[in-house]
Amino acid sequence: MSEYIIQTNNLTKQYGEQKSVSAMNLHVKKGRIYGLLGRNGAGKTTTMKMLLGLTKPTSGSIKIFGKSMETNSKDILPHIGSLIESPGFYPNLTGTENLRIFAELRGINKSKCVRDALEVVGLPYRDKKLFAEYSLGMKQRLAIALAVMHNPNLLILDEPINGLDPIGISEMRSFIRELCDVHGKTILISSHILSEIELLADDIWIIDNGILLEEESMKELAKKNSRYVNFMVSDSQRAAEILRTEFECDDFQICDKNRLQLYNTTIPRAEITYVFVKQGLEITEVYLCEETLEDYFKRVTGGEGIA
Amino acid sequence: MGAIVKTELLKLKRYHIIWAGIALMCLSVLLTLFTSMANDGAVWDFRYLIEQVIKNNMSMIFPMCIALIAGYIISREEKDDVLKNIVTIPVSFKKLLVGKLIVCAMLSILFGFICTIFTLIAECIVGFPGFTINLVIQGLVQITLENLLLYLAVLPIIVVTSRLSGGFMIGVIIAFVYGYGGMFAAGNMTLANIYPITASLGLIWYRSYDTSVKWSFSLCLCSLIIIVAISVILIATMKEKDNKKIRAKTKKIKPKKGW
Repeated sequence: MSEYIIQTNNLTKQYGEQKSVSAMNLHVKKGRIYGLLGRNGAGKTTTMKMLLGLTKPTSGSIKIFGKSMETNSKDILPHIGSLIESPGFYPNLTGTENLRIFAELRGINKSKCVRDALEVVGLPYRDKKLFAEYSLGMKQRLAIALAVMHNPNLLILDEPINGLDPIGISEMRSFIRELCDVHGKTILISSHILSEIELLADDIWIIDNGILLEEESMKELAKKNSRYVNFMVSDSQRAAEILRTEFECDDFQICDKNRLQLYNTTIPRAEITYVFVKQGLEITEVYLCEETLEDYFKRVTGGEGIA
Repeated sequence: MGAIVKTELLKLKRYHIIWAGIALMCLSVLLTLFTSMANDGAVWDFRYLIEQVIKNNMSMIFPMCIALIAGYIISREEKDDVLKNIVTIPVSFKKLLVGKLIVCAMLSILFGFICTIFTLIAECIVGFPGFTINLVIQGLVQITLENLLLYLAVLPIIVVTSRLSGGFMIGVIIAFVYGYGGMFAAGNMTLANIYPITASLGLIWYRSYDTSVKWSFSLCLCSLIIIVAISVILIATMKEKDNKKIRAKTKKIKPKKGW
């Protein structure tokens, strides 16, 4: 079997003239959480829909669990749990009744699976509240319960924390992390909240205009991200001279009259500060700056933000 | 398929549309009672009442009623955005549709029972002569079977309009016109035997008052077999469409008039 759980080859989806997803080559390894980042309309949901067979690709191929999705979807899909776009359930039924229907169709032990899945997401079993009366957060929880109810090996979750309250987000984060770390599930997750992806994902994909711009592990990303020490001093030119003469360092940038950014973060800050003061410079601020995922996203997509 | 049918039955819980069907069955009997008040020289007895209920059901109520209920049941997944959860199980739309059509056949039988009960209530209230248990049993079988056969007669309309988003109302209109056409077909022997709506009457040995009509059981059976075959072909050749979310129509906000 292939080392990848998901492997796509030049996956493309075109609606008329517009390419929603363009020649995408994805590689998903077992037991990792993949964060899918992109602006609205970048092609995240379309990619997920193609992986689930909800939309047929215009060209390219998809392999899941080493099998072609085109010819083996009946074997593959029972091992996948998914949440795509908004939660869709029967409004005239309760949460438990809704899950029972899906359990029946999946041919699994109804009562136990439904009770366990509802417990995991913090929804009551056999509650009398109809789905139509649920809040957005409750609907989202029910959708996650449906995705995990049949104990799938792969989870594809499109914006799973939409509508959840802060506690709910934290609980969901722990739950998803546990699914991956303890149970060895592979999870594909998209979110608009960059900080969530940063906290959750092992690997990230950045998609823009249907093109996969980056496929990187968070560890590699951390290495790539620029770090620098920011100095606010009385004379940045004088500070630059001191760095050159006393520390033999040219890896800095003078931003303005008072601000200097030092990219060599190996020199102890206390030592530099001591020398600056000794040479008669006044220092108002010294701090370490690190590029966030948002900064990185902006840099890669060349945009102003995700939304 | 058993699981699909079972879940389709579970989904009927709290469906108001079922009550609409029951109300239409009541309307069918009420309509018959109204016609009994007409001074047209007809002598009304219990048997005649049952036959008139069957006739009204055939021509005006049931084809439209079952097209409405089936269309509503079939369109639920797309309307409530549940289809994506079913297709990824995986259960194909075709299988789901077949399951729903089986449930609709069950509902047709149920409505037949209900219509018979309303007919019996009407008989109790009005008290037409000639009431016998044999006639009750015959009425129950005829009304129920007629409902099922009428459902089979409108099946192609239900199947064709099933994939049109919000298209089932078009199906309801077509089914009504198609059912009403039975009134005209009933006056001609050949037409009555081959027109699927009236052919259903031939299969339940409906007593026709038009002397020109002599039921040909085999011709009536052929007519309905062809209709069912057309439905099967339509389902078999149906393409699985890309899952698209049905967007709720946004209400147009009317500008306020005046101050």
